[in-house]
Amino acid sequence: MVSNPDALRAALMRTVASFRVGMPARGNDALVSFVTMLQARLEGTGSDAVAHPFLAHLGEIIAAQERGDYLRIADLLEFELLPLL
Amino acid sequence: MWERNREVLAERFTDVLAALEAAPRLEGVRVVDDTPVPTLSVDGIQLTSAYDRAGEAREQAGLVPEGAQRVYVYGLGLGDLARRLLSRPRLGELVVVLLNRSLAREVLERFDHADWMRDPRVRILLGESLSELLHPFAALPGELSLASLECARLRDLVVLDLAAPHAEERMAEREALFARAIEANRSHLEVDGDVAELFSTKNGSTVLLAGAGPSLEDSFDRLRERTEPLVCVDGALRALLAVGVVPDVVVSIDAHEVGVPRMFEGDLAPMGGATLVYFPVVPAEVIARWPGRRLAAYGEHARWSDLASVHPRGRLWTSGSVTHAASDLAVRMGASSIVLFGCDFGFTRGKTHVVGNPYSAPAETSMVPGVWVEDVRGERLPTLPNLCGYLRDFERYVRMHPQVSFFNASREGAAIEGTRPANEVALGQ
Repeated sequence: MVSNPDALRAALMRTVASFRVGMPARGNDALVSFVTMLQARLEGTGSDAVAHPFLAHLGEIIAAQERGDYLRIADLLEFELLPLL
Repeated sequence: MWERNREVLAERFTDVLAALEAAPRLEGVRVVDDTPVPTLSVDGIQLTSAYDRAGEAREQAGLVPEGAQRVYVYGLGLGDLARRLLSRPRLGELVVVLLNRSLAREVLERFDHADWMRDPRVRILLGESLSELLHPFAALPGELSLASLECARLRDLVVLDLAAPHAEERMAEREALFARAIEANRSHLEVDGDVAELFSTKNGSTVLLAGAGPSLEDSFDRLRERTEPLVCVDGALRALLAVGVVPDVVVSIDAHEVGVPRMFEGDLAPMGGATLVYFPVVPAEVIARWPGRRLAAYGEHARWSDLASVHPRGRLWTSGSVTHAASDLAVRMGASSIVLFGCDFGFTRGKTHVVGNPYSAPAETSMVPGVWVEDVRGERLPTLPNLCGYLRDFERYVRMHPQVSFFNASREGAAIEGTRPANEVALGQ
């Protein structure tokens, strides 16, 4: 199964919007949906213009989650990854 | 920068200025200026976007109805949200609530806020002066994470309010599970009694209530030697039985098909003289194994209405925690005093639950960064967002029942507003 870009974009924007207004639980759920779809893309195509930049930022995203820095995560997703979709 | 901001504060908000000037300095403060727009980072947490602060403020302002005449903003930020809201022609008053005095001082020393603070529609309040959440509002997520100890309660109310729609969505996803569980329990409902049989049976008494928090371990002797009735939550049952404490009533309200049965594993023979109070979503196998009296109850949610019309039962208040239902049972029983044991609402002694609970584990397996409440010693107690919510809802419940004295026997759990420390003198009253 290869996830379509619209669904990926929607999940990403839901994540970003949730983090920006102070709804981290909703944001984290949406992020899980996004990652699941991204995984499907990788399995389907073997390489991906979005998956690899996401993986490159994954360490920073996890670190930001661990310290509760949700606006940093929102910035990474919105301004580093979303333009690639 | 501070002098510009200070001038406005001195002119319009002298109390706030005094508080900021007396506030201790923060460490770990860094201006982030190698990004498209500058922001401030405190302890690794950004106060705003470092790419598009104006766009972010637009998103945050979107939570507030366009025509709102008075709006509350929880957090100071870098002024973008305040400016965005003040641009609304119909806005009559903007109340900015500071969640951390020291943080506000650091922000005002580095970023200019004089323009919007001069607006006659603006009021600035210290968060510790508010006891309830005021609406409509928008909030700054970074400052929710950085709220001070004094503002922790208000912060929790903001966070819970923002999380409520998502929590409702998640609850709706569980309706199919609830429906299955209720169907499986119809045969029990045909024959089991009504929780209302316990109402007003202990008028004027002291009732003891055992939660499943780790601090319950300090009270095993007290509970074993008790003369008062003991109501416990299901999560405390195995821990109490293991040390020879036999509760009088056990309350169970959850539908978890694996978790709940585990809390009733082992030899339940000692409970032959005890009562199980259950919501009919509790797994049927748990109800079937109970050796003593069984009384069904419903919550106050509308989901119970259809079932209640066929099998009427008494209602117990809960906003998701079995501790709530157990407390409301004690109140409905007529207790004039309720003593809370192990109602920690957090990870005391670095653990999740009392020893003997099947899910007792080191706290680090469950901790969420930056989530804490103030404990009875005035220190930060790591907890979970849902436990935070249960705590604040319970505090509201305690306020609504001034005729009952609530005592907290935990020496390290969350500070529960409206309760008094338990001691031998208090227990005798």
